[in-house]
Amino acid sequence: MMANTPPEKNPMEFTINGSPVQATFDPRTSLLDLLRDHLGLTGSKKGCNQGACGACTVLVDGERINSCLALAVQYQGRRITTVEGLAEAGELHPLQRAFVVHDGFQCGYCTPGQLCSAIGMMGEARRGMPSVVTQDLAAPVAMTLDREELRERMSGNLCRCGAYNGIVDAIVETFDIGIPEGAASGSATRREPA
Amino acid sequence: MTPFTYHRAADVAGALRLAGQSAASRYLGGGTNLVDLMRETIERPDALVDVSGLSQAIEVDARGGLRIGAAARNSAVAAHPVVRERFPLIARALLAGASGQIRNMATTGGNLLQRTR
Repeated sequence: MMANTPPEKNPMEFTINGSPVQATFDPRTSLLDLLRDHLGLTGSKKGCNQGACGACTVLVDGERINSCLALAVQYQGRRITTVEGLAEAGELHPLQRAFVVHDGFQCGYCTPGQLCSAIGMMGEARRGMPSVVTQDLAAPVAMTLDREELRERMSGNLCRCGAYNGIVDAIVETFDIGIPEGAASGSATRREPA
Repeated sequence: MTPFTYHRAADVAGALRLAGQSAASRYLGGGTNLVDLMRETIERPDALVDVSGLSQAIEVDARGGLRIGAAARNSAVAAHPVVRERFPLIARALLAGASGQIRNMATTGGNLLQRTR
């Protein structure tokens, strides 16, 4: 009976980059396709469309998610921020400026996802979210993340141009992360991708 | 992706009732696995019952065990103080899997119902 029935559409409402959005969509619509194809917010990118590359990363109530794996219908009533919503009053977000200064990109395709991911990542660190490299899980998470830990926490965002050192430098500068004593600089610890 | 009807369950009884209304329903947690399989038409549910609004509670029970609500996110479980202090293997295992973005989406219930791969 259901197989030949046309898909029903669901009325949905969101707050996207501070503005209310109301419309009726097929429930198969991913949050990424909603943003790009229906709302014209093409900053969030479709790389792998299966949750591996992070180019589609957006913030939902301040938390980073992969919008390609998110059915939009699940995120009704939520506050969604895309790269288009990071600048305020015409001023780039400090992290956006730092990406320019530190060459945190080449082609730029992964950049919107990198920016949203880094902002979400710093929120996690401030809330005390541990990572797999956290030595003592029982201790409070310190805000002295070394570059290796930043790389681990940002590992859900791939950059095919290999601008990782610039990305890490931009994050370190923007969020004033204390680098532990004796830790080497980014260029000195440069590693080839596995 | 095959068309489906979307339902959001308000409680466990509602989830069971909604899932029983069709032969090929699936429970939906964060969708990180199911949505991908549906896109590849490996999974073709005619109805999705969204259970992400059910319990996200993480608590120690009377016998000292850990009780985790089906809708608890992987990141929330990994960050929970009791999990980190008394069940660190669970926290470490969660933090070793996937990415920060996916851990913010994936749920305990979804992990348990994940299709074998």
